[in-house]
Amino acid sequence: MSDRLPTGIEGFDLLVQGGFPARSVSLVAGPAGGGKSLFALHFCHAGARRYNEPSMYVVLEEAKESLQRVMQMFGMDFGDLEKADRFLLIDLGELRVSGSQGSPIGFRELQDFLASSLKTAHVRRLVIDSLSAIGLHYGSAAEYRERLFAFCRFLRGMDVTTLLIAESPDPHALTQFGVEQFLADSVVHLGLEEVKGELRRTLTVRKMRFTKHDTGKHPMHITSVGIEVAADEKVV
Amino acid sequence: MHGLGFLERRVRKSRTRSALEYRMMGSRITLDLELSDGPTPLKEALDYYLDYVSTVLEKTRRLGWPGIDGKLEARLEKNRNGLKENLFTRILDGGGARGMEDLRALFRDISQEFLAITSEAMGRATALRLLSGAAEEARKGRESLVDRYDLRSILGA
Repeated sequence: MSDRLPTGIEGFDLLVQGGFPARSVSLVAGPAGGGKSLFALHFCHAGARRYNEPSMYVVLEEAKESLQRVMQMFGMDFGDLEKADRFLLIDLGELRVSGSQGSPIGFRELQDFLASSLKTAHVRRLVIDSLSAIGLHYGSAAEYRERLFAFCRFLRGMDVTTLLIAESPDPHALTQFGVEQFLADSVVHLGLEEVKGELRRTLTVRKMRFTKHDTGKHPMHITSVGIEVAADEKVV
Repeated sequence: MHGLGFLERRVRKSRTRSALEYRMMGSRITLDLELSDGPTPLKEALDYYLDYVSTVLEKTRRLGWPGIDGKLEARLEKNRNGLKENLFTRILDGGGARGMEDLRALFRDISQEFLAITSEAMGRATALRLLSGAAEEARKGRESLVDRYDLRSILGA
């Protein structure tokens, strides 16, 4: 594995010296409809298709079928990659619905799952969608932070580069518990702002360890081929 | 009549069955009542376990882990020393306690193998959650049967 893992979104990769640092844990945060899942799908698709890096996308909240529709819509053909075990779309939400107590999945359970599955499937790129769904498992922010800290440490010990997806509950809060950004190596914020009655998408790299990254807010567009980031433009 | 005080009730135990003996106060008339459960609902119990198996397979497919459902299905095809054939013969014969024992033994084996296969791929906690969820879904609508004959506990999860 190289030191950088490109996402396949050229404009974004230009902002961060070519991609996410290998074996890092990154947070992709933004409001509902901000393009977080699509961003993460680009990351998986590029890894599995172009770089022969097996990728696993773990869904905890959104229906698996909904993601499959997104893939089709943007021409991301994962069919042959799934057959070749280079892409795995795992729906752990299926367990949440009908678990023994019907309870949400927590970090320990997820860690137990990943400890086995990452090795078995030789996964190099991992997406957890989303932390918001796991947050439902915990009664307090302190407990959540403690478990997330241990979980991030576990991920760094695996030979995998991870994107954690988190929903921003409102325009003033990046994440639900306000702690995720301190524990992650990188934070990418996908914004959705209303300007003169229209929604404008933006992308900002707030933090990325081991990287000289751009700190500007850039226009982001969702086109027929997915996400495009205007690296040479800034939103003022 | 016992409740109203006309009859005296005693439990009479023997090696093969229990019975309640009723005596009329000061009378020589004795009533013997055998309270048996009737035929064992072997077919209904089998339906529960088959639902459990098909739910496990469906859940593993939906979960998205490649190849696991095939491995699980292969375990269903194992001969298991003629246990399956014996079981179906017993069902045709009307069940019985021995039939229920065989049925539970068969699905205890199958469930343990399911647990081993799924644990290896996705960890024990996730595997237990998956199997437990399937057992609960299959129990829906037939709770009294499952609880009365203790069908759920042998699935382990």
